[in-house]
Amino acid sequence: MSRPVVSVFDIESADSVASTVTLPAVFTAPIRADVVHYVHTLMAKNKRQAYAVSTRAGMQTPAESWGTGRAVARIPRVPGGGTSRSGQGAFGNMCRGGRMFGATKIWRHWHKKISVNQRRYAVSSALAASALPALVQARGHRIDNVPEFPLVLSDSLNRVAHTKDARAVLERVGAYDDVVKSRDSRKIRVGAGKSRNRRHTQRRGPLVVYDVSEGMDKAFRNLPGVELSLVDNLSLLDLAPGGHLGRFIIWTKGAFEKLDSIFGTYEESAKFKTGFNLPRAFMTNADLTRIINSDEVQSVLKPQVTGPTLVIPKKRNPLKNAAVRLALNPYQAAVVARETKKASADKATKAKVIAEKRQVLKARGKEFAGRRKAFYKAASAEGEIAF
Amino acid sequence: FLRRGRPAHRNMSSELVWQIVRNNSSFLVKRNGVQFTSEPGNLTNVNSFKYSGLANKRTIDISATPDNKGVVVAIKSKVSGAARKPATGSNKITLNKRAANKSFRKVAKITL
Repeated sequence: MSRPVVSVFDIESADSVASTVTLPAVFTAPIRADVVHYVHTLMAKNKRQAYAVSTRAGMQTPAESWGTGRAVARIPRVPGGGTSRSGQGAFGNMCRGGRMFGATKIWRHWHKKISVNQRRYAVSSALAASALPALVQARGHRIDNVPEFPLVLSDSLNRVAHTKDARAVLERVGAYDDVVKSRDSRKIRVGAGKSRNRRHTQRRGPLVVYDVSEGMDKAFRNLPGVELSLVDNLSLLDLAPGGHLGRFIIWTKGAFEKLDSIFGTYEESAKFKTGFNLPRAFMTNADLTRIINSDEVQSVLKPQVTGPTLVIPKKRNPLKNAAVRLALNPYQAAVVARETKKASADKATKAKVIAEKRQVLKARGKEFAGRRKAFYKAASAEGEIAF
Repeated sequence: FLRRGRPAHRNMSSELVWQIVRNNSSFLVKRNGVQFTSEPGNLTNVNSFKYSGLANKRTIDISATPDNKGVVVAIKSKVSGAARKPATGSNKITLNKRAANKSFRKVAKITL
């Protein structure tokens, strides 16, 4: 499989590409979040310092139980007299001044062994994940302005001696947003750790990986969140902080080129890790969509079955929908015809009756109007009406 | 054997990225029995493969311009190497009221 080529950026400007390097094979190692998580949980325990309570705590009394019959609980009690301590319960975890339950011991298994190959598998996975911008973004790094993943800068980065130059380089290369995120996330720790010399917490910024420093480690170390690491001893705790894949890594060209000899390729073993070969994925091609749509698969598929699809028509209410009613009850047509006929006949007769009535009323009205007029005329002929 | 169109970078398949990111991402929000993602490129903020802005190769992101007067539509580029290049890997089109017609035409051209 031909590996893609990665641009090496000039630290003076992100637009100019100084040269190109073939992608080291580690970045194509399988990304195994489960392995990384497992190894990380074990590895994170290896820097622990033992803690325990004193072996004698709570046991430094010759207390003895008073037994039964004295109307007190049977807990061992401090002997003697003359002091408020005498007669008090002792030894038990429930007693005041007693020893705790399950007293912590220094011989707790603090450090965990992890097989070398598993450790290297995890580191390979973590490196591979750092090359995918999706995973780096998901981890929370601000990488919108980074020109390319993995980000490789030319070897002149090794000679950057002043922090302000280091900052300028990061800004040019689009990595400074992550530093800003880290700086702005600095808060006082929640919990008792704040008074135990772990006062502040902040997010992790970019990890700068180099092979030779000519002053750049001092330049970068004061930038908030920025961490430095030699290629030779890349730690999973830096590559996958919290067991989460996708640390934002900035490589120098020398460091990047060294990876093939440190981790090996799929053609040859690692030079600097005896007996180590890059882990192989279960699937050489994990792109399911491509596989499904490939000629090899599509050509062997049976044609898609498009049988008569059962279409269930929408239910329409025959009580309201005349067409459906008619389909269910063909006699409905006759009924409807008869009724409309009757209605129109009724209508006609009704209209006739009304018209006749109107005539009668009209005639009557005329008659009465005539009578009214005649009376008035007669009355007014006799003279003014006086009461 | 599956040579044509195989991604040069084996690890970049969307299914793989989804398997890693589905339950573990800084954008994932799980509260009160519901889960959402705030990742750019996810138009519904639903945490599923179909809508994922991290896993999918072709995504559309709609966000406000810095001056809050318009909207920036960012579409991930189809070019094969673009997925590794966050700074240049998406076509960004700004839509605001004045340039409305031109912008819509631009967006239509690129999405179709």
